[in-house]
Amino acid sequence: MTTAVTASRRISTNADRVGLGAMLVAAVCLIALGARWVSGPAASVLLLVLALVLIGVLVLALRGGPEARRLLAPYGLLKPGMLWLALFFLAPVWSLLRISLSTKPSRFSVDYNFTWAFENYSNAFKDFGTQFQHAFVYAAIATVLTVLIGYPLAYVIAFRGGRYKNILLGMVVIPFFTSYLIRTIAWSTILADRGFVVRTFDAVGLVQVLEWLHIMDNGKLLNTPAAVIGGLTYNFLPFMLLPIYVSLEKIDTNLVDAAGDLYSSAARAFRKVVLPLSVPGVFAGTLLTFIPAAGDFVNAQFLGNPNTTMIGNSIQDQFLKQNNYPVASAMSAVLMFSIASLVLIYTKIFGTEDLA
Amino acid sequence: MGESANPKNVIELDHISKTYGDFVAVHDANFSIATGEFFAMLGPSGCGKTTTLKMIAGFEQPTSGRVMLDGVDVSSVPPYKRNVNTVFQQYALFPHMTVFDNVAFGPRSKKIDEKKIRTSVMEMLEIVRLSDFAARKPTQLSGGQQQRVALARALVNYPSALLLDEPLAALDLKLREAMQIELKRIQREVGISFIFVTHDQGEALTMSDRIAVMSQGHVEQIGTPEEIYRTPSSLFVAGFIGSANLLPGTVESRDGDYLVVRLRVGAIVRASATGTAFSVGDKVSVMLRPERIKPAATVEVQGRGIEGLLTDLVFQGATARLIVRLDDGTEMTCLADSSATMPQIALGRRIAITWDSDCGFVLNGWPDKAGANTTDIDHIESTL
Repeated sequence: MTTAVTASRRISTNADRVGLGAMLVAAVCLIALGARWVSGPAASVLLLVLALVLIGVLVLALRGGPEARRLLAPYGLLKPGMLWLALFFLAPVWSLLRISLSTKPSRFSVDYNFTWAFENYSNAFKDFGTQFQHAFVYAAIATVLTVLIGYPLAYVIAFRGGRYKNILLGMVVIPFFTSYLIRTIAWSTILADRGFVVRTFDAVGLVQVLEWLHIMDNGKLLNTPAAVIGGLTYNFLPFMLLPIYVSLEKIDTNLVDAAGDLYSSAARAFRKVVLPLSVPGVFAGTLLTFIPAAGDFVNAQFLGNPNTTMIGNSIQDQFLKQNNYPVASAMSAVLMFSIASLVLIYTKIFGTEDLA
Repeated sequence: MGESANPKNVIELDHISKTYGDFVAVHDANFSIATGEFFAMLGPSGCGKTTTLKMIAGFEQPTSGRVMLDGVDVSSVPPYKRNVNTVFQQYALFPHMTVFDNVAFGPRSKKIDEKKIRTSVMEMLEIVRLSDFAARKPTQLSGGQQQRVALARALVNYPSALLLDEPLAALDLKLREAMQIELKRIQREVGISFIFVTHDQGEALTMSDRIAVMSQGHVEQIGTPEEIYRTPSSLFVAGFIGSANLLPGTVESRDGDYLVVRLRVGAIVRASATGTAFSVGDKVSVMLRPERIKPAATVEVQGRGIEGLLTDLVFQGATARLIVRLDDGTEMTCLADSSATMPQIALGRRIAITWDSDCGFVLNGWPDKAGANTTDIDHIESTL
């Protein structure tokens, strides 16, 4: 009897370890189920284990007293997110990596076998190098353009917006209540060969200049690299503008006055005070823009041509049209890891930890 | 300003006004500030003191009038070309720079040789006693230290004048008192004119050589702390600086330098007056400072005392605060030496308040509320 009491007390005082353990066990169960490490009766056993672990923690929380609840609370709060990620992120990534190393028995087969087929990766690079290049170059140019357009806009709204601030921000954001697809298709109409824009450029004789700048091609505006980059820039502008706006908005305008008081011209005050203090916003904006833009396939599909295909289009094509899951998975994995390493390098160089 | 070429004046405000639409922020401010002077602009919030400071700094342009700096009209010169520096109310230190870089900001703007900057910055940090903190970020400093960084950052440029906007408002009471002395010391050490804006009359009295009391855009009075305290020019100044008992009455007759005033409460008193000429029948108020009146059993000299009921007696250490209610209900405050208690003075007794010959001071007009201004919470709040 007494040993049972001391045992239950020991569980209560170590409830945090119990909580952590339960979370890890549950996560592993979910990954195993989601990535199909097990099947048949073993899967049922795993499901049972998962249920028992979760019920066990629940019982401990209900019966273990306030101290046990206090220790369990953090893991209780972490659990929904962690388990969600285990099932819907870690398990799929595992599957993706596994498929990326598989081969199809025949060209027309829909099945594939795991064979450590690293050639999928070399094939991905060999066959789709141009598309990778497009993805990163277009996304990089679009990111730079969103900074160049978004920063001044955010600056004016933050410092000169006065009582119209919210209206101006609304005007930036409201178009984005429309579907991404619809907005992109709308641009294909706007830039169409006999559309208003092209005809106007033609009438005022801008076509030659724009062709020389490689923005127009053969009298066309649509289906050019410029149109794809333009589409990306337009679609991701709010993701650049809003973080920059937030960081500018936080700057005490007295600092600008102080710089002026200390003999700085407006330009120097901007360079030495406003710009450094808004770097965190630019940093966040570039990540929010570059990462999705590099994987985008909508803009290239509607605004580009077969020579402007981005890696997103190729992945979509390999997955959904060619049914070549192994190569498509290898391409996805490469895209994922290259974006991750670019972001890491970028963070190392421009990391802004000591700027609150 | 007539003496506009006076070389001793760093700053001359030549009839400057500032209006925003219909609102008059500053009306016809016309005074000058001498080299090395510690000058305060004092007044309740919204009196125009900060606007005046901003016009000197260059953040605001006067609607009319001229701002002269070292004898040169700078009314339309932008702040970064004026040789004045400001210590901002919340300090406005650059959060992404170290203390050293903050202080070096001004000299670097002027493109001074980096070696010279190093010595002058360290020298200034020495003066404000922050040499050991040069490598810290402002967020790692206490309020008082941040305040001193702001001072050093301004003073390192050796401006013609230093402008301080409520420099001590963000500090707590103890630190504020210590910083008052520290500011005074630094000012003497560098010998630069300090012009500071405050709503705290105690601060202004403690630190300043001269004070400009402002109210609703008007400069009410300019003078040394003593002049302003002893001979305020208006009821507003009397009530704003220190505490005062203001007793309404009418001029009965003139007696040499004194006026004989019949108080509304009934008594007839003698009081001195300067400046404004009064004639018999004028509505006036007699100002009596609480620390200059004494409790007594009865009024011994005619015209130098008044009787009332002692309603409250608060021991405050060195002094005791007596609240006396006069016959018409007016309450007066008296600060008495707490060691000189008298047996006949007890709560609920009828006693007298007496004063020396030159204590009463006559001011033009009647106050909104007769009696002591320090007992009325609404009044105190309205002046802050």
